[in-house]
Amino acid sequence: MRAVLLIGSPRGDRSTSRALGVYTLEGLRSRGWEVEERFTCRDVTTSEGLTDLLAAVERSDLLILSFPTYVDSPPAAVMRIMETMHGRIKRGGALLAIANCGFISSSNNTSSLSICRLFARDIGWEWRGGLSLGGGNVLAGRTLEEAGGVARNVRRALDQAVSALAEGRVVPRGTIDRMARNIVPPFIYNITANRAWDRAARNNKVLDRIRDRPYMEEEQV
Amino acid sequence: MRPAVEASDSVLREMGHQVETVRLKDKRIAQCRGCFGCWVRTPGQCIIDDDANEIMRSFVSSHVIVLLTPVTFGGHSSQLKKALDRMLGSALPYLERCGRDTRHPRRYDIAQRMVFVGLLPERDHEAQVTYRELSKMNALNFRATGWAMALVFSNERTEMASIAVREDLLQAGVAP
Ligand SMILES: Cc1cc2nc3c(=O)[nH]c(=O)nc-3n(C[C@H](O)[C@H](O)[C@H](O)COP(=O)(O)O)c2cc1C
Repeated sequence: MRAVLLIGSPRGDRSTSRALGVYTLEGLRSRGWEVEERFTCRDVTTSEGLTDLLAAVERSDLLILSFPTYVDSPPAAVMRIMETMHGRIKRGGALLAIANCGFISSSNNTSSLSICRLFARDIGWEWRGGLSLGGGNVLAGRTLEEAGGVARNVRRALDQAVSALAEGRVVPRGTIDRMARNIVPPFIYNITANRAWDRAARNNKVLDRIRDRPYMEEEQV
Repeated sequence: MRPAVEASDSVLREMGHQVETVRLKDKRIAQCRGCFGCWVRTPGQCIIDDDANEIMRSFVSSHVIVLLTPVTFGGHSSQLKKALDRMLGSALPYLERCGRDTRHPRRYDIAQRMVFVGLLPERDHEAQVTYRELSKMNALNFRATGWAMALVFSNERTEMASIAVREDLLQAGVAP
């Protein structure tokens, strides 16, 4: 059996999308699956990239789409890939979607995952399920192993998902619920995130300009 | 598409708004790089220099924003999505609690209403429900003061499009 991971984050190697996707892919590899990964944001910019990506999808039994939620839905590059596949994919397949978002509540991925499910429906593929993680920035730039204790629950959920996927089953409801749990308590997350934005702006020497309004129109009072 | 565009244009003018129409297919817009530069490097300003910046100017200075798009899998088409992803700088990076949810504060004070007009080839219950949910989330997260969503079906009479869009605008409370 063969799986392809499409990473839908423009942050590529350093993205939470990749960390989640690669962990899942490795689980399948250890069960004897052949696996490959592609970066959608790169592939979508050239027609060769798109062709290669579609070929990778065509030769796989399972597509894992792992992406960040942008403006409550999959990023433009992911929408573009789905639109392209809709017209061009000939054979059947199965889809697992993994969405991660910046707000702590994983419910911010709901529309993203509904869109993926409808995509599977429209191309006639089996829907293996949608896994949803909130507070994705907690993991930023780290693998799930490197993230240690904070990612324990996420790893456990993905291990369960792999067991189901390896047997061609839908990801169970309990696994989806497990993944959707708060990764850290919400108020701690918000305080930490706000401090991190200030720190980043200070490092760039723009903390005093963080509320700038470069497009303020004269008549707006 | 055209009847929906014309209907929204004429209703907004009747209500006394100046209307600017942005045709995304004529614009050069790169995909968002997810770098958060518009929050912590050049606040409010994307680091990419292309047509999205002019769109940002209109986006943050209009009292009504109408988003008109084919609905793909219950979402915005990739063309509209590319522009929307680039509007992140219209918000501040901070997380603030809003009831049970978390949202970002607006960068600009202007009160805005958002109107979503989705085009579908035919009625499709699941896609309609998903598009409504997405529109609602977008309106909440862009902190719109009012919003509405209408769907236009290509297999139905064109007058239906005008009626749906007109009702949508009225429902969003777009009167100045
Ligand atoms: C343009 C843009 C839009 C975003 N919109 C949302 C959103 O609507 N809801 C949310 O919870 N997070 C949003 N985020 C935050 C990302 O989902 C979050 O940072 C995520 O963890 C990034 O994952 P990645 O490392 O895989 O790219 C947005 C980020 C960007 C850059």
